[in-house]
Amino acid sequence: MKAAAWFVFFLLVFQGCATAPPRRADTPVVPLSKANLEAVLEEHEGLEVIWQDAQEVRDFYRGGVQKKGQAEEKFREKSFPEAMKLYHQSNEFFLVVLDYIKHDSCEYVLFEGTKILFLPNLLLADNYLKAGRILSERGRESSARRKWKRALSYIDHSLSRERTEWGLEIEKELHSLLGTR
Amino acid sequence: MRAKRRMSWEVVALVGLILVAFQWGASVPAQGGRVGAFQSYAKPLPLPDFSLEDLQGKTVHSKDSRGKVMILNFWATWCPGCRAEAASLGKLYDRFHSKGLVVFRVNTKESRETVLRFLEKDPSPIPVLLDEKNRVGKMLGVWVHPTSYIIDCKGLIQYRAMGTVDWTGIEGVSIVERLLGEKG
Repeated sequence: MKAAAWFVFFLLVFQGCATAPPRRADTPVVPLSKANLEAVLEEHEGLEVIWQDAQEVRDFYRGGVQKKGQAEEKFREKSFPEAMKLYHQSNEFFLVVLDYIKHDSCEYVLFEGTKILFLPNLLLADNYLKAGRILSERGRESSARRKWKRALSYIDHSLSRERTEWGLEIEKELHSLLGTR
Repeated sequence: MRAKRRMSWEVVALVGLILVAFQWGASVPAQGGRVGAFQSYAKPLPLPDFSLEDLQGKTVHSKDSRGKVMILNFWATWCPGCRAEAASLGKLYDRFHSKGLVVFRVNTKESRETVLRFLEKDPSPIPVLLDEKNRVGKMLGVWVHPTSYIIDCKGLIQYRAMGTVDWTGIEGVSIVERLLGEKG
């Protein structure tokens, strides 16, 4: 029975290792000129993905990026209620993606010779960061902090796989907003 | 005592199996059981306008096919699935072309020379368009090869097929017949 308990324990440990890789400080940082919001949005311009018609994981990723693009536009125009709604819809798409593909990659291979920026964790973190800023603007500090804490967990996961300058900037901003570093 | 020990190992094996199954389920992307089948759209969207060159260098505009039923088949020479479905797509084209079906095989990210060399060995009756920069593929969100879109006479994308399809099968033929019927 003792052996059995150890077996289950090791299985759980391995499971844990598989889902939360340690962050590697020795890997080079992907510059902002390569991985940035404009580049991500540009890769998914065109035919819109409707929630009801999203079938593949990659449809959900494209849908999430497209909703984020719309949210960013509303955020810039300071149309905050619309931006909040769109960030939420974008997150719904990305959360489906993370059920199946958990890790970010700056060189996700679509097919021979074609790679894309596949950053669902980073994009979720950015959405939560901005949603938190909107809430903070409205004086809802505790809700804002909840969003930023959530953002921090996603950016941590993103950076554990891809050390992007973009992600590091988001992380720095989140720590400063939360006063944690 | 022995029976008890055996039982405990059975429990462990079961727990292990369940854990592995969960891990597997998490790492396999959702295919929705639709690979190779036709996915209809709940909200068909209009095909964006585009222009591409054919193998002779002539520019083909998508809007010139408005009013016709059109199939856009994205493919590449390195893709075995694309080669596998080419023959059945050719048969569908031969059968319905005179009734108003337009089919284009849109080659992705390959040079004219590569495609011409390939077609010398593996000829196709279907016109080939070149999307060397994957501009149209990106616009439509093509993720895998082959991917095909079926567009109705109003220019709305009605179906998508990801993966290899038997175009002479009942599903493909009935979709094309129905859309051609709507046109009439």
